[in-house]
Amino acid sequence: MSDKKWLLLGLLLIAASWIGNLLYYQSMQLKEPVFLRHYSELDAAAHEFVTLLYLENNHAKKKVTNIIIEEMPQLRFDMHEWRRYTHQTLMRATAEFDPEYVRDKQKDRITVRELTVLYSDGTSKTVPIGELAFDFHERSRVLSSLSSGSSSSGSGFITARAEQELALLAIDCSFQDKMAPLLEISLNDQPIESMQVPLTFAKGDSFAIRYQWKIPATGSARYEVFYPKLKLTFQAQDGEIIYDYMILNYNYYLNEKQLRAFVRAGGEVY
Amino acid sequence: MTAQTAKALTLIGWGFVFNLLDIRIVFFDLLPDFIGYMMIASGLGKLASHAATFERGRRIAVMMIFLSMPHVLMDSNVTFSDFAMVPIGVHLYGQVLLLLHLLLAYSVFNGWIEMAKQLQQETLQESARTRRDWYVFIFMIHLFFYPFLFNLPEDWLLLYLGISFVSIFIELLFIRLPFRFRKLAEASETR
Repeated sequence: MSDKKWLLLGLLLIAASWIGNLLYYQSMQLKEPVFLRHYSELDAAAHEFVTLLYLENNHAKKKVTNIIIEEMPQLRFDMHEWRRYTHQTLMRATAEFDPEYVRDKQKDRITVRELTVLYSDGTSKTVPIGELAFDFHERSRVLSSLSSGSSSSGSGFITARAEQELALLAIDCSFQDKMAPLLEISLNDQPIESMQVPLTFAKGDSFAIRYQWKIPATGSARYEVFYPKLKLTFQAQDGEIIYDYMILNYNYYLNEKQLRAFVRAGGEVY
Repeated sequence: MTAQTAKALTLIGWGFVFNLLDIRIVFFDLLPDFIGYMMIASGLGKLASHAATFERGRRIAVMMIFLSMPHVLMDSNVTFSDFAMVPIGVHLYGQVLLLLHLLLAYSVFNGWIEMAKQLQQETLQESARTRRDWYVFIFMIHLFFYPFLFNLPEDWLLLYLGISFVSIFIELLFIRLPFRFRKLAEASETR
C-alpha cells in the first residue's frame, strides 16, 4: 500500500474514532440529575442525618443546587461528591435536623415520597424519592449496642445487651414487604421469621443480630438505597410495651457496568 | 546549496521551534503559532524549486497562519478534570490544527527526503524517511486516541500524557532535520 493510502486510512480511522466516541459520549449522558429511590427510616428525635444519593453527569451544566422537602422545609442540604465514575458522579446530599424543630414537632411520624429539586439553570422539579419515614417519637433505649460491623459483601452484625429484664414480643424490619426478598436477618442464628416469641432476656443478657443483604446484580433494587431499622417490640417487667431499634447498615455500591445500564435506561429502572 | 536555501532552512527550523513552545501570560501566547507558520511558509516558498512537496507544505502553512490565529488567546492545556467541560468545537479545533500540522510535517518530510536524494545524502535520506514514518505513526495514534478521553476513566490520562511526551520527542527529531541540511549547506560552501 502506498504512503498516501496509509495516510488516508489513518485519517479515516481518526474520523471514525471521533464519530464513535462522540456518539457514545452522548449516549452516556443523563438528561438531568437523577435521584435514586430511597427506603429510609430515620430517627429524627435522635437527630439522625438525612442522606440522599443522586447521580449527575460529570460535566453537567444542570446541577442540583438545592433540595426541599415540602413537609420539612427547614432541612438544609449540603451536596458532596461521593463517588466518581467515567461519565457520572454519585452525589450525596446530607441534612441535619434542627434540635428546636424536632422538639417543637407535634407529629410523631412524617412520610416523604417526593422532593422538590432546584437546579442550577433556575428550574425546579418534583421528583419521586422512594419512601423516607421520619420518626419524631422520643423513646428511651432499653438496649445498648456492644459492637457492630458490616462488610462490602452485604453482611453485617450487631451485638446488643438488654439494660433491663425484657420479653421480646416481635421483631420486624422497616418496609417489610420491600425488604423481605432482599434481606435475611437472624437473632442468635435463628431466622427471625421462624423465631418463637416471646423471648426473654434478663438484665445484662446479650444477643447477636446477623444480617445479609441479597441485592441482585441487576434489576431495580440495585438502584435503590436502603436504610431500614430493625424494630424490636418488648414487654417490660411491669407490663409496659417498649420499642427499640437497630440500624441495619447497607453499603451502597454501583459498578461502572450497572451505572451504564442505568444511564441507558434513562434512569427509568423502577 | 545557496545562501537563500540556508536562510530558508533556518526559517523553517525556527518556525517549527516557535510552534512547539507555548509560553503564556494568563491566556495570551507570547510566541504565537501564526508567526511560526509565517516563517515556515516563507521558508518553504524559497525551497519550492527543490521539491514540489514543499509547495504543498507552503499552502498548508499559509492556511495554518489564519487558522492558528484564535489560538493566541486560547489556552491549549486542557486538563482531564475539565476535559468534557470544554466545548466540542474547541476540542475539534485543536485536533484539526494538530492534523494540519501533521500534514504540513508530512509534506516537509517528503521535501527533505527529495532534497537528500538530490544531494546524494543517502544516510540523511534514510534518516528523514524513518523519522517521517515514526512521526506520522505517533501523531496518528495521538489523534486517534484523543476522542477516547471523553469515554475513558481518568487513569487513562497517563497513557495520553505518555503519547504527548513521545509526540514532543518526535517533533524535536523532525525540527533537527532543517538544521542538519543547513549544516550540510555550510559544509559544502566551505569546501
